[in-house]
Amino acid sequence: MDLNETIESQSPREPAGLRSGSGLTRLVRGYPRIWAAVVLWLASWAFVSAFSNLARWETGAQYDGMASLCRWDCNWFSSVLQSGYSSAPWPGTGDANWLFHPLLPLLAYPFYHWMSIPAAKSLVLVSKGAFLLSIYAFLLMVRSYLSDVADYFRAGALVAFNPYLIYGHAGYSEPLYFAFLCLAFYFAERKQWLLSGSMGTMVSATRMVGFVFAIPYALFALRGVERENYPRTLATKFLGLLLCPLGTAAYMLYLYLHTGDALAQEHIHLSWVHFPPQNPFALLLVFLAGQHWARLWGLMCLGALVAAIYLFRLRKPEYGVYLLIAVLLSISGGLYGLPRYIWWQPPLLYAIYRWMQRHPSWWVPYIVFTSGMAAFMVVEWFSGHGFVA
Amino acid sequence: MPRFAEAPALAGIDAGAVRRRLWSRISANLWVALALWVGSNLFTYGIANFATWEGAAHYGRMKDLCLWDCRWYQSIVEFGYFHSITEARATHPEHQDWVAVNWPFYPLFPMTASGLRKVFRLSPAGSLVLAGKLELLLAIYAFLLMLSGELETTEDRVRAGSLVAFNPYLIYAHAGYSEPLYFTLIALSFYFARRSRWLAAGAMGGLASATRVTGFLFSISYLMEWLRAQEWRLSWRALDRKAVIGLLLCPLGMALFMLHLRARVGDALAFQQAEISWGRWLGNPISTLILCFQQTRLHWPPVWAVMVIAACLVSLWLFKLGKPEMGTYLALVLLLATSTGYWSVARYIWWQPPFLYAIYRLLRRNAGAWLIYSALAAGMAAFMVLEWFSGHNFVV
Repeated sequence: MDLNETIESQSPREPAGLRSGSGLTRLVRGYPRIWAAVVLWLASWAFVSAFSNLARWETGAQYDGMASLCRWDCNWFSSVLQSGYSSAPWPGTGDANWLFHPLLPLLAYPFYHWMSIPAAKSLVLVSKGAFLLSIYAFLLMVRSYLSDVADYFRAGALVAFNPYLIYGHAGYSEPLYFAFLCLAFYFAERKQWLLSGSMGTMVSATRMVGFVFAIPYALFALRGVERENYPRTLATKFLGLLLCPLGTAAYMLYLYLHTGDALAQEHIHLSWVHFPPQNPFALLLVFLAGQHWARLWGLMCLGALVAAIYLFRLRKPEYGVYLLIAVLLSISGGLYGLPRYIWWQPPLLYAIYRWMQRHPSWWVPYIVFTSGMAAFMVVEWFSGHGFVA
Repeated sequence: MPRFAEAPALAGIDAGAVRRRLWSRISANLWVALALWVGSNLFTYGIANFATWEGAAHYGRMKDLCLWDCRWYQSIVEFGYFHSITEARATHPEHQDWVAVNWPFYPLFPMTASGLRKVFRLSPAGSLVLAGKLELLLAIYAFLLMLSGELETTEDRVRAGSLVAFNPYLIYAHAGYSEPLYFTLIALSFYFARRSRWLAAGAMGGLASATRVTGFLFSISYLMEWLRAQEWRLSWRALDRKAVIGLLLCPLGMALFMLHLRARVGDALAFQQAEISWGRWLGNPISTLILCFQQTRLHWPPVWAVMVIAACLVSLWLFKLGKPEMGTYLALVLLLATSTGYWSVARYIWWQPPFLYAIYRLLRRNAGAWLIYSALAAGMAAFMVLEWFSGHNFVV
C-alpha cells in the first residue's frame, strides 16, 4: 500500500459511490458537503430571483436586482451600516436602530465602506453569503445522520427551501444567526469548547436571543463533568461558557457608552411593540384564538414546542432547551417577526430532519409545502404588507 | 408421492400470494394517490386563503375558483351548447359577458360535472370544481398505474404521484378545467395499450377525444403500440378484431361531438370555426415560436416558447427511452397546440402524461434534483394560485 492509498483509506468517512470519476467530477464529488451546499444555495438564489421577477411582471413589484430585496428590517441594518447607531431616539418618530445587533452590519462594512458597494447591496450580499454558510453549517450539524449524497441534499434542502427563505436573501441577520448557531452546536458536540464559545459570541452579537446558547453550552459541558479531573479542560469549558454571551455583553457596553443605556435595545423594543414581555403561554392562546396569520403563527409556535419536546425524546436536551427558550422568548415579544424566529432555528430543522429520516416518503410533500409558502412570501415581500417584515 | 400431493397446495399458495401482492400494490397506489390528493387540495386551499387574507384574492368557497374557461364550461352545464352568440345573449340577457360561442369546449368534462350537480345538488360552478378535483384523484392514480412497472417502494409512488398532485400548473385541477380528466384518460389509454388491452385502451382514447381537442391524437400512439405488439409486422390475415375496434373507438368521442354540433348548429367543424372567432387558427408552429421570442415586452411568451422547446426535446428523449408512442403523442400535441398560438400552451405541456413520465425518468435516480424540481414546481404552483384571482389573462 503506497502513501496515497494510506491517506485515502484514513480520510474521513465519505459516502459510498463518490470515489469514481476523474478531474472536476472527482474534485467536486470528493467534497459532497460543499457541493450539495453550493448547488442548493444556487437553486435557492434562482428560486428567489425567479419569483421576484414574476412578481415584477404581474404585481408591479419594484424588483430590479438583488439590492431591491433589501426592505423592512434590512433598511434598519442599512441605517446602522451607513451612519452607525443613533445616540438618541429620532425626533418625531421616537424610533432608533438599537434593536438591530451589530454583526451583520459589521460584516457588510468592508463592502460598503471599502468597496463602495451600495449599503442595500452590501447587506444582501452578506446575507446571501451567510445563507451558503448556513446550509453548509447545518450539514455539519447533522453529519452523523448523513450517509450518501441524497442525504446531503435532503438535509440541505431544509435550509435552502425554508418556507421563510426570503430572509436568507434580503439583508436580514437570520442566515448569519443560523450559521453561527449551527457551528456553535457542532463544535460543542465535538467538545471544541473555545470554538463553540466563539461561535456563541458571534450568535449573541447577531441576534438578541443568541445569548441563550450559553444554556445548551453549559449542558454540553456538564456531560460527564464528574469524571473530568483535568483542571485545564474545566478551565477551557468555563472560558468557552464566558465567551457565549460576549457578543451581547460587548454590544450592551457599546450602547452604554453611546447612549447611556446598556439596555437600550430592550427599551426600544418596548416602544416598538407597546407592551413589556408577557406570559408566552397566555399569548399563545391569544394567537390561537385569533384569525388569519395570528392563528397560523400560533400553530407554528405550537409545532415548534412539540419539536422541542421531540428533541428531548431524541436525547438531544441541549437542542430542545434552546428551541424551547428561543420560542417562548419570541412569543413573549408579540407577533412581530414570529415565523422567522421559529423557522430560522437550527434545532427545529434538526428535529424535522430526524423525523423525516424515519418517514422518507414525506420529503417531497414537505418541500412542496415549504416552497409554496416561500414563493408566496417572495411575491408578498414587495406588497408593502407588514406581515412579511 | 409427497411431491405430487404438495404440488396443488403449493400452486394454491402461490396464487394467493400473487393475489395479495396485487391487492397490496393496488391499495398502495390508492393510499398514495389519496394522500397526495388531500395534500394538493390543502396546498391550493392554503395559498388561496393566504392570497385572500392579503387582499389579492376573493376565495371563500370552493366554487370561487371557477374562473376563466371554467365559466365557459359553466355555460355548457347550465344551458348546453349555444346555437349562436346572438341567440344566447337574447335568451339569457343576464349574460352579456358572453362574447363568443362555447363550442371549443368539449363535452365530457361538463357532462361529468352535470352528473355531480344532479347527485349532490351543487351549483354549476361548484359541480365543475368538484368534478375537476375528483378527477385529479383519478389522474394521480392513473399516472401511478401508467408507471406501475417502474415503481417499487412507497417513496417511488409518492414521488411519481407528486408530479401530478403538485404540478406547477396544478391550479387547473382545482378550478373546473378539463385537464385532470384528460390526463386521467390519456394515462389510462397508455396503460391499457401497453398491456394490449385494446378495447379498454380504445375506450379511454375515445373518452379522451371527447374531453379535449388533442385527445384524438392518441389514435396514432395506439396504432404504434399495436404495431409494436405485432413486432412491427402488420398481418392482415391474423388481424385482431378487438384491436381494430379499439382503434376505431379512439376518435369516437370527437366524432360524436362533431355530430352533435352538426345537429345543433349545422356545422360539424363548428368548434374549429369558434376557435377562429377566439383569435386562434391553425398556423405555422415555428412562426408561433419566433413570435414568442419577439414578444419580450409581454414576458410570458418567451417563457412558454422555452417550455415548448424543452417539451420537444423531451419527446425526442422518449424515443431514446424506447417509448416512441409517448414521444409521438407529445410531439403531435405540441405541434397542434403551438400551431394555434401561444396562449395556454403551458397547460397543454404540463398536463401531458408523457411529459411527466419523462420528468420521472429524468429525476428518479437523483434525490437532490427531485427536491430542487419539487421546490420550483411548487413555487410556480403557488404563484399560479395567487395570480388566478388577479384578472391577468396569462393564467388562462
